[in-house]
Amino acid sequence: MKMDCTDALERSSLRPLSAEGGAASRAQGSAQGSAEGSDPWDGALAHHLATCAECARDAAFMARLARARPEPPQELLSAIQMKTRHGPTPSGWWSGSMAAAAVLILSLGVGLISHQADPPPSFGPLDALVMNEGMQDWEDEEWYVAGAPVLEALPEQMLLALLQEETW
Amino acid sequence: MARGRSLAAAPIASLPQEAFNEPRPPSVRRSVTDSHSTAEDGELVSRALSGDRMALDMLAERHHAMVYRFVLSRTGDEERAADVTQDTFVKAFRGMASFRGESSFRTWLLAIATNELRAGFRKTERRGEVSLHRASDLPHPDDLPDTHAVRESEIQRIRTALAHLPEKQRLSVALRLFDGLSFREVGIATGSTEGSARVNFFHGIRRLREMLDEDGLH
Repeated sequence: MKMDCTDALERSSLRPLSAEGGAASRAQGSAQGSAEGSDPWDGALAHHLATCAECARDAAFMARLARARPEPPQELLSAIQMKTRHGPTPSGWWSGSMAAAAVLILSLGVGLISHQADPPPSFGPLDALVMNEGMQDWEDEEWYVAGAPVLEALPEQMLLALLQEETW
Repeated sequence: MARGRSLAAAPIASLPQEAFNEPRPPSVRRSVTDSHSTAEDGELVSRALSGDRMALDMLAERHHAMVYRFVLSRTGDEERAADVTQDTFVKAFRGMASFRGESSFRTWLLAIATNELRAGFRKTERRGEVSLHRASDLPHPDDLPDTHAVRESEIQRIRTALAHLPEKQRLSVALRLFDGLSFREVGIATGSTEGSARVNFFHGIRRLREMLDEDGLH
């Protein structure tokens, strides 16, 4: 399996310390670097680094940087586990309490609004007829645009005046 | 194997599949069962949601160092990094039901850490406090006295040089080199694309080499 410089850089940056170790063992004539790794790319990388001085230099530099990896304080993990262990499990804790709170707030809000709202206006048969006719007008006259003047309803003189008006 | 030559333009499909896997930290302590330590993150999340506390412990064990380093890279403040890491895991475990697996569990954790940091910054601004460890406050590598042991001095110089990188370059280098994130994950964690993450990483490496070569380190 062959590897070019681009792949070699990608893989070296992913595991810089093992890349450097693999290259070193390969360079020393040991087959350990490629034989131990279950990943065939490890062997290809080691071979590439052993034969490409520039990539080997880049890999060595990245390994040097990786050795400066900061480690967390030893007590951090136990502190996290203490904090998370004493709460309810994720499924029962957040989602359950949030759902209960949402239902409570919603029902209180709906109750408050329905209590304070004015009683609905009562419509007689005539009101219903007028409303229905009004809706009918709009449904029939689909070309009407809200706010636009209805030119067909204007007398001729006003139409002429509108045409001569410069500002509209 | 035919591959694209330009790192920035390399399509996802052309990258080795392993670049997208999530390598686990090499030293995983045996405080949990073998089935937990070998389980993928998604499986552990499912177990945690069904009440398995060992799964929570395993997730914390596996990822706390990455979150800590991410926050440390952004703040330069060790104490703050530890605090934010704890808060991140508490929030993550409370809200685990909202993890849908659309991104990796690692990038989900880093997104929560970012939110925690922003919330912390807002609180600090309200109190009128200023972070004591901003990158600009750190001495330049050349300014450090040469009195430490060689190795400690080298590590310190590298960390100082890292602190002088622009944030996205610094985060890209740290997440990739220290924690083995794929460039796709680095992009998600830093709010950029996979291609930008790759460019930031290699620009960061180049800049570090310039800084450290000047310093006679490399």
